[in-house]
Formats: sequence, C-alpha cells, structure tokens
Amino acid sequence: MLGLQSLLSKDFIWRARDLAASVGIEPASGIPTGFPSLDRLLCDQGWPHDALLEVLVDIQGCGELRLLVPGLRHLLHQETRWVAWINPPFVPYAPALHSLGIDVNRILLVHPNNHQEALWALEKILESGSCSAALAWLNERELQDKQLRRVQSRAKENRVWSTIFRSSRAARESSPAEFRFHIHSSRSNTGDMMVLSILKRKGGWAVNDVSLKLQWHPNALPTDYIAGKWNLWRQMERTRETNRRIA
Amino acid sequence: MLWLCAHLPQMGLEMYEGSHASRQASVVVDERKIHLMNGIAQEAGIALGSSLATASSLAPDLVCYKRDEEAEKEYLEKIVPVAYRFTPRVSVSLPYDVMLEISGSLKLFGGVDRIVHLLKHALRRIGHESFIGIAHTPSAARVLAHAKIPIPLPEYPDTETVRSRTLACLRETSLKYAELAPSDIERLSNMGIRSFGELMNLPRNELGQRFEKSLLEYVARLVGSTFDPQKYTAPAEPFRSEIHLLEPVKDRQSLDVHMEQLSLELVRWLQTRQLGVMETLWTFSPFDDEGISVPVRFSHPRTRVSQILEYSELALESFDLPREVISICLEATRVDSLLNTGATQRDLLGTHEVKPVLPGDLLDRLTARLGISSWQLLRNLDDHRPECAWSPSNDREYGHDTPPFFTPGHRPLWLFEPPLPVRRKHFELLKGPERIQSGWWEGHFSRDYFVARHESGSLCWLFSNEEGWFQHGYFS
Repeated sequence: MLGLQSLLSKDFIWRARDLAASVGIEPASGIPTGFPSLDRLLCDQGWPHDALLEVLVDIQGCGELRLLVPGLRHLLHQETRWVAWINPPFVPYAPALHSLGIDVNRILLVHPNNHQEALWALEKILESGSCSAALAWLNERELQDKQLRRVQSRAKENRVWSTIFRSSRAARESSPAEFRFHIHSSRSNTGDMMVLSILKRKGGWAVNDVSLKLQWHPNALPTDYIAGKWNLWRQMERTRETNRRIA
Repeated sequence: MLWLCAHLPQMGLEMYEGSHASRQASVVVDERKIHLMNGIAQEAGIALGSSLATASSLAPDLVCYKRDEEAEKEYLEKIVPVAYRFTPRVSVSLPYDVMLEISGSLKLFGGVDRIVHLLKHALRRIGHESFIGIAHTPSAARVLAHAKIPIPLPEYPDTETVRSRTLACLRETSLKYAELAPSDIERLSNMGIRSFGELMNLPRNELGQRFEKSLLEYVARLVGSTFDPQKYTAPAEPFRSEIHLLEPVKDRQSLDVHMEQLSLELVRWLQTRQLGVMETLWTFSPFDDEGISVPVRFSHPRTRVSQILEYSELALESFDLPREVISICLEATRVDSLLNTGATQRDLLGTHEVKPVLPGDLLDRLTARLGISSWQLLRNLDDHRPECAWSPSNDREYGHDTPPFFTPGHRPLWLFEPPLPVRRKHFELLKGPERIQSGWWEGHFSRDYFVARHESGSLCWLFSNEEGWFQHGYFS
C-alpha cells in the first residue's frame, strides 16, 4: 500500500488546488475577459486562446455578446487575425461594435444555408489560420456530439477561441467543450448586470451565480457636448426671432 | 537576327497522348498511311508510310489516331504561350515548328544555351520532345532543327559568327530537309546534287533557267540575302482554351487530369502578362446537349495551378455535372494586375498600410463552396439613420472605413433588418426617448427610440412612430 504523500507525488494525480501548475501554463496567459472577478475563475486568467466555449442562453438581449466583447476587443488589438461570426441570428450592428472599441474592419460574417454548410464553414475558418476567434450559432436540433468534438479539436490545433451559442436545454447533455457558461435571464434586467453559472471549466469545479457588471456604452454623451448643442440651438432661435422682428 | 526553331517531330501524336507516355503501340494515320508512331510501334517493326493493315498485323493492340490538320494547327497555337515567355517574336510554321527570334532575349535569360535548355524543359513538361536549330535566318534554323544538327555557338553570338557557322553546317546537310517540292529535290538528286553546299555552289543564273523561281527564292531566304518576313503570333486574348476528349469521361478523377492541364495553360498565359486571374468560367459539355458553366471567383488575383484547382473543385461540388463529359472549356472572364495583391502592403517609406489584409484563401473557399453571398464584411457609414449607419460588403477593395456618426444614445449590438412590429404591452420602457428624424429627400421618418425590457427580461430597442411600435434590435 502506498502512503497518501507518495500517491500525491505521482504525476497522474491532479489536484484542483494547484490549478496553474496542473495545466502546465504560466498564469495570465489567457485573453483578459474584462471582468476581474471572472478572470480569477478561469485557469489562464482569461478566455482560452485555443478552446471551445459554450454559452447557453435562452433569450437574446441579456448581455450574452457584451460578455465576450472585451475579450474580442483585446484580441483584435493584439493580433492581425480576424473574428468570424458564423450564422448570426441578427445583424451585428457595426456602430455599436465600434462604440465598444471593436475594429469592425476585421469582422467576417458567414451566412450558411444549412447546418452542414455551417459546420463546414466553421471548420474551414478554424483551419484557415486567419481568424483568432469564431462565434457560431448552430442548429441545436441537428448538432451532434461528434461534430462538437471535431470543432473542439480543430480549435485546439489551430489556436482559435471558439464560442458556440446554444440553448440552456443543452446543459442536460454532456459536451466536449472545455468551458460551459449558462447565462441567467432576469425579469428585472436593466442591462447593467448579468448573472451566469459556470457549468464546466478547465481545472475547476462548477461555480454558480457569478455576477458581472456590464459595460453599457463607453463613449456616452459628454455633458458639455449637450450644453454646446443646446447653446447653438438657442442662438439660432434668437437670430431667427430677431430676423422675424426686423421683417 | 537570331532565329531559333523548335521542331516537334512527334507533336501530331503527342497532342493526343499528353504528357503521359503510352504503353501501347500508337500511330497517327494520314490517308490510310502511317504518318507518325511512338517508340513501341517502331520496336514492333512498323515503318512510316506503310499501310494501316500492315501496322495492325504487326501490333495487334495498336492505338490509332486519325490525323486532323485543323486540330494540329490549333494545337500548335496553344504552344505559343510557352515560347512567348522567351520573346514576343514568336511565329508558328506548319506542321510542327515554332520559330522564335531571340536576339533581344539573350541578356535577359543568360545566353543561347540557357534559352535552349529552358525552352526544351518547358516543352518537355507539356509532353513534347523537341529539336532545336539556331541560325541567322528562319529557313536555315528550320533545316538545322529538322536535320537535328547542333551548331556550336558562343553564349552571346554576333550575327556574323552565326552566319558563317550556319553556312558551314549547311554545306554538309542533306537536301532532303529543304522546303522544296519533292520533285525538285529528286531532280537535283538525279543531277548529283545532294547537299546544301552543292546547291549553293551552283551558279544562280543557270539554276534559275532550269528550275522555277521559287527555288532561287528559297536559297536566297536560306542564306539571308533576301528578307523572310514572319507572321508573329501572340497568345489569344482573353484566355479561352478547350479540350475535346476522344472518349466521354464519366468520373471525376479523370476530369481532374484535364482540368489540371487547362489550369496549367491558363497559368502560363497569365505569367507572360504578369496577371492574376480574378474570375474563371469552366464549361463541361456532354456529347449532345448544352454544357454546364461553373464560375469560380477569387478575392485577389491568383497565379497558381494548385489554388485555381482547389477552389474550382469546391465550386464544382454544388453543381451537377453531365454524366458524360466530352469537352471541357476554361475561360478567364476577369483578370487583374498582380500589383493589387497583398504582396504590396507597404508603401514607399516602408510604413504599413492600415488597410486590413483580407483572408483571401478563406474567402475564396467560402465563395467557391457556398457562393459569393455567403459571407459579408462590415463597414461603418457616416449617417445618423440607424439602418444606414452600416453596410455589408464583399468587396476586396474594402477597408476604406469612415468613422461612424457620433451616436449620442445607446445602440444595440443586434439590429433587426427590417424592424419588427410589436405590441407595446409586452414591454416596459427603461430609457428614452431619443428622436431620430430623416429628411424628406431620404424617405422621411420620425421615430422615438426607447430602451425597453421585454417580459422575458431581454433588453430591446424599440421605436414608435405613427404606424405603431416596432422593435429594432436587442441589447445583447
């Protein structure tokens, strides 16, 4: 019989306590998420450069994109590679992305006609080496485990941060994704906060109810801008008034 | 002037067999007589000029092609792009010769031997064995090439050296290589004149009395005492090449071989012009019906066979090809200068352009398989109307981005296109209104925008106008 200490010294015993050492990566190698509290929960202190992330969300408009935006912004600043959006459900609105600091010139939208084409496009994008991140909305009904496994291995081989958006029903099934986040919708949502559960993460247990403060609009209107416009308008009104009197 | 003649003695046979040597005896038959044959047929004992019946009895598995002089002429024109690499002065001479005037190209390619080596290599790559003759006149070069006589020349010969050496070589050469009527050659031979030297030694006047004028003219052209103008040809424009198969092709693998051959021709054509192809059109035709055209588009000028083939095959996947293909045609419908590729991303001072480099290979793959409308790039536009403040594009000239209109209010990350009519009672208004109006000249509208929350908790961008309430996006 081996003692506990000798057992712990074996390579194949992994302890969640020594997170960074166990995965063999020095700390802070991930893409900063923009949320310090979330960074602390992820093994690389940020989004993974080469893993599959599943975002489980049932409704649109509860901060699911703004969760990823700071990470995407960081990637687009750091690298010359592109970010691909495969089968987005609506139009990603360029002025809003711009105001959140994202370089829209390096966003590629792909609109496949069916599930097979979407998978094909996703695989080619991962293999191409010209994208640093990929966001995909796949058909939940046709999505199979082996397809996800394939996406995951391609993402790993080619170092692409891949995110797949799925419905929360998928939480019941297992998935090869290294990270699975479930975003809770709240009926009192004001857009300032979001609450999510980490169902699965590399090198750690599941974590419930992580609340994050979301960025609304970084360049919101400065007050002196409004004041300036207002004064201009007042002046114009006054001139018009004088003109009318003279006439 | 320095003339090079590339003589392709077996072209009439090689044009059918391509670059892959046949393992069977094969012959070309002209008026039921053997015109050309390959090495295996020769080993079997077949002689040129013998009848087809004799040949068939000597080699039972004989492959036999009928000579088609029109097709041979067309094929010879196809070889022009290979020679065009070396000089713009290329002419063809029926049946199996290509003439090049190379005096202006010696410095560029590094001497006579180098040009000969490169040309022979290029011809061998497309499946032709060639014999080269070099002389100061086209006719003399042709004689030397046909007689397979190499003349030793310095790297950069001057005209006088070439002239004297050519004439020295010709002296010993048999008259049967002359371009004269067979009856004339026979008459000369009966008179005991069997080589060019003997012919040229005869007094011209007496020769003119006994023979037709054409003989004298030929001798004058041969030695260079009169002009011998050539009709230069250039590769046709725009590029279009067709292969007519002898047997219908049913499987993709054998189609690939022919597609590769056509792509190679296209690439050679592009190289001589320093162009890249932007758009090609493949046409696959069955025997008795209209063909199927498959366009292939590229995001930037392409110059490699492998790339053209890869994207073409992806594009082919979404087309139903005819069951039996008898002819394949490749056209270059759009070409562009190579200066427009990503290779010139630096300006004169070495600073990088801000323009993003398109992931061309990826975009071409997507275009080929899913169609040109399968992908989009985003662009901001300077406009205050929400639906006009962005635009999709799939233009490679893209990247001239205007900064967006300064947006005072909140803008959603998802936009609805077009806005969706909704019922007000499902929403709770959180922020707003923000009024957005447009002028009468651009489709007048006046909308009050709100940030609103749906019952389910999703944040939406609503607006109201005289027609009611609409949702224009999600704050995701």
